[in-house]
Amino acid sequence: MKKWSRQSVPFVVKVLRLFMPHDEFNESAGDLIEWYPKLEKERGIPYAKLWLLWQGLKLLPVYFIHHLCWRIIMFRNYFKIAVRNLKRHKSYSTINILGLILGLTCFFLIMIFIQNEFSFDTFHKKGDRIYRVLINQDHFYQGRNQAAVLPAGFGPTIKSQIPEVKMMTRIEDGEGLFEVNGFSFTENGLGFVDPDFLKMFDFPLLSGDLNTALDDPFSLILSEKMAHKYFGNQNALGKTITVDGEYEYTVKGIMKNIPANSYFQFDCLASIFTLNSIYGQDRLEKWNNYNYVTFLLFEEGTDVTLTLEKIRKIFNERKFRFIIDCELQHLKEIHFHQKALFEKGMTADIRTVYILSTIGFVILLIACFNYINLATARASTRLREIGIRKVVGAQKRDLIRQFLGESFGFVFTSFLVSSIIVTALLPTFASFMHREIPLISITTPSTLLFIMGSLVVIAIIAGIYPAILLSSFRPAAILGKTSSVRGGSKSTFRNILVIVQFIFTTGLILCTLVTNEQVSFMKNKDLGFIKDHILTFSAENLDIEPQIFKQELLQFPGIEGVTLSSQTPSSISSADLPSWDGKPENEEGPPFFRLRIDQDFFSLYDIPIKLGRNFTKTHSTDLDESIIINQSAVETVGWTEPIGKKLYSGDESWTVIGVIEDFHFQSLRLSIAPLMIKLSNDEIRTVSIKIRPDDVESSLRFINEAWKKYSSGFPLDYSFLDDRLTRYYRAELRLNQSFQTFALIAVFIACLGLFGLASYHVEQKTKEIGMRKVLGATVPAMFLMTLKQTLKMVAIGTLIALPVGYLIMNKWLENFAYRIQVGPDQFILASILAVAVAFFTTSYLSVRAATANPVDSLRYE
Amino acid sequence: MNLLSRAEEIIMATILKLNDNAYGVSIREQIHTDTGNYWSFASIYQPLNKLVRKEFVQKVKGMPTAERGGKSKFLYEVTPAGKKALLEIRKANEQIWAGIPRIILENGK
Repeated sequence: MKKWSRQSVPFVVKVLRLFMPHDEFNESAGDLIEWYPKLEKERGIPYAKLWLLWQGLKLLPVYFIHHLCWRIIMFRNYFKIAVRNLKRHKSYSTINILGLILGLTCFFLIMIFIQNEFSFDTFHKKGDRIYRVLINQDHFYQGRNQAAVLPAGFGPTIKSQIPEVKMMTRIEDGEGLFEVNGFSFTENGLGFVDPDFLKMFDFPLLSGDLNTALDDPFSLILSEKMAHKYFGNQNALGKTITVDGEYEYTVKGIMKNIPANSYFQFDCLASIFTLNSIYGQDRLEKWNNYNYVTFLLFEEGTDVTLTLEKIRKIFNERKFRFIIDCELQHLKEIHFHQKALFEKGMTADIRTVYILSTIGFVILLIACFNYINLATARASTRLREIGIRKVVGAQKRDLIRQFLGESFGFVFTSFLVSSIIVTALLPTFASFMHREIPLISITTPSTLLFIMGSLVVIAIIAGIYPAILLSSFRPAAILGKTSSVRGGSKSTFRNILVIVQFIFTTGLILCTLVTNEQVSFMKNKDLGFIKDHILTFSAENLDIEPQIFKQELLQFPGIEGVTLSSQTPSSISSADLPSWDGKPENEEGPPFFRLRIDQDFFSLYDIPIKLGRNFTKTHSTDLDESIIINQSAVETVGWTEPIGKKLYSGDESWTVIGVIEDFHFQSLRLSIAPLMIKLSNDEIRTVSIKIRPDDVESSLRFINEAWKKYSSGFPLDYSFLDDRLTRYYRAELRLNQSFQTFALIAVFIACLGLFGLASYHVEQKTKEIGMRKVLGATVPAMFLMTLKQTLKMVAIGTLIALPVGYLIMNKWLENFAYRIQVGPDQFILASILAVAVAFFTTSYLSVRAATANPVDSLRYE
Repeated sequence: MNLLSRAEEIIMATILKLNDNAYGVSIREQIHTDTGNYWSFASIYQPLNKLVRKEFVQKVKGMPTAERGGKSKFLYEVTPAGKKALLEIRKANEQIWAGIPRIILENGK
């Protein structure tokens, strides 16, 4: 007779065991097992197995329904008991639910944000066939050598020479003063595009024909928003808009507002052929104007690598000075691509996604640990219930179902509340992260599925350990003695949980301190030039020479100084590759950035001249032959005596007359590059004005009026230099702030858990404390005793968190050329804060326990 | 007064026949011998459980055996009430079949 060991129990039997009541399962399983060998012998194994399956299937339906009925009956009981339990321990339950609600809210907010990030540009139907061309330069600018822009002639050449390229569009952004019937506004969301743009990308037109709308120069397509802004409720189609006072555009179409999750953020589109009319007939065929982001639509089934080779061939035929290579980038990879220079659309940093998702999970984990800790700590209060249930006939799996059900109930109730909070907070959070996230995007079926799925997983993670723990209690042990606290042996697991929570807490505190310090370091670092109370704007649209305007401005007493330059110290972007005597032949070297100034630049910005002299009027050669360089340039070339040496570029050469201290003209992420500064009379169109701080208002008024006098209607677009500078670090600042907020929430949730756990521990110890006090223990000693336990775990957690945090933070700081050091003071501060947090959370309870009257605690012995 | 269903009748009769050895497997075997068909276990248990509920049949738990993978055997016996029900249906059967000679059925008309 075949013996069935436990391992060879067939699948069918296992399934039956789940559904059938114990005795009946035993009976039918036994019968099947007994019958099986005969069948196996007579008809062979496959038949026998099939028979087993069939028999099992026939047994199921009855018991399934039977099972269902019982489940429903038991559910009512479980529910009643769960609610009673909640009411009996109101404070713990509140703590638990609060922690869960916070955790779920943060988690889902972050997940929604991340989902939105990944949804960028996914709404284009032909999107999987759309690529764009990137070029790799041979030198670095702002730390990068890849650019997203191509010359204008490139696109059409690719389209005509490569058959699998079905459509092509170039994109150039623009801005201008739009005027309709006297109502004028500066718009900078203008995009010049090829007619194929509307056919490649899904930006539907509400009116107008997308096949022809952009064919003619000076045709314009307005977004709904813009149409409403300029034309109210009238039909804008066919109307005219005057731009920059001279160009008349005709509205040929109105498109739906571009959704927020799009790389393109244009308010209106114009035909790219307009540029020919404005700038000259062959503007769009030129090969030296790197201004155009170029997108290509491939035929289905195109081999992208082959096509890339063809494009490379076209490139190589044309011998470009700076470009060493080109590559194709798929549409869906653009959003997180931050490597390319001169992007004309919206990209994002994928590190934000990583950081936020990590902290989202951490928060959730902490909330789950809280639940586990609180549920298992209070296990002893439910011992009697479990004991009786087991005696009356509940199986282990019934109890597991009960407790798992409780955790599901917790999680889903918390979810209900947190979903309301998420809906309310979403707009604020979204705008904080500089995105628009419409609520509809959450209600897609895949999102809802994800939400349900994650809730189930969360409930299981939180509930499985307490469920298993509680269901394995022995009734005899429980119902026999009256109060055997079954906490001791299992508390190592709980302690580990608390330690892990503290690792997270300390780690987060450390990270917050470090990022804070780095960001404020960058904000406050001395850049090498003055940035306060300095106003800058472009003098491009003035009717008079900038020098004359400068003299006008200097008349006003509130204005301390005015200087003209090609750019402000923080926006220097043009570069050159000069050579010098003794420069190695084949090396091109790093680019030297260029700046043109007038004589007052260095004094206005307070940039000290280390060696030599400033440009002066007395030296007539200064205008064409003199050059001032920065310290970094000196070091790059390797001069010991820079004054008098020469630099060459093309046909020109200059003599070094002075060296200035390095100042930061790029982001603090980069080290300071070499800079060459020339005196100029005509390429200096950026005005920098230093205003006296005591009456900024009147100075502004004067400047505005002076501007109006000479600008024939162009608005004055000025900004304060310090505002502009903080904008460079906006991304960092934002990430830092959101990280800090979430970190704080995580710490708070951990504290909640610690509070709940500690209050439970203390409760357990009240009798012990009472007895000790009776025997003569002092209050401080009792206080310390209750505190010791917590502090031990905090200490361990902190010790583990510090080295890990150190490594992570160092990695992050490597992104910055100018950074703070992660030093012992941050460690000490983080540890102190962590300990302080733990201390304050538990000290109240410890004090209360230590000062309790022994009479009360020992009364009912 | 409700009569037993066919399945119930056959099962109870089988139990009586099997004397002290009536359990799932033996019942199934016996029914096969008597009717020529194998009934699935489900279609034996369902009427059987109903009979137990009606207290016509009594279920006795036996000892676990190795053959059954360590599961115990449950033996069935007909109770006096069950026997009474069987008598009723036997009488009803006789009445129904009285007056129909076998020859008519075998003729095929």
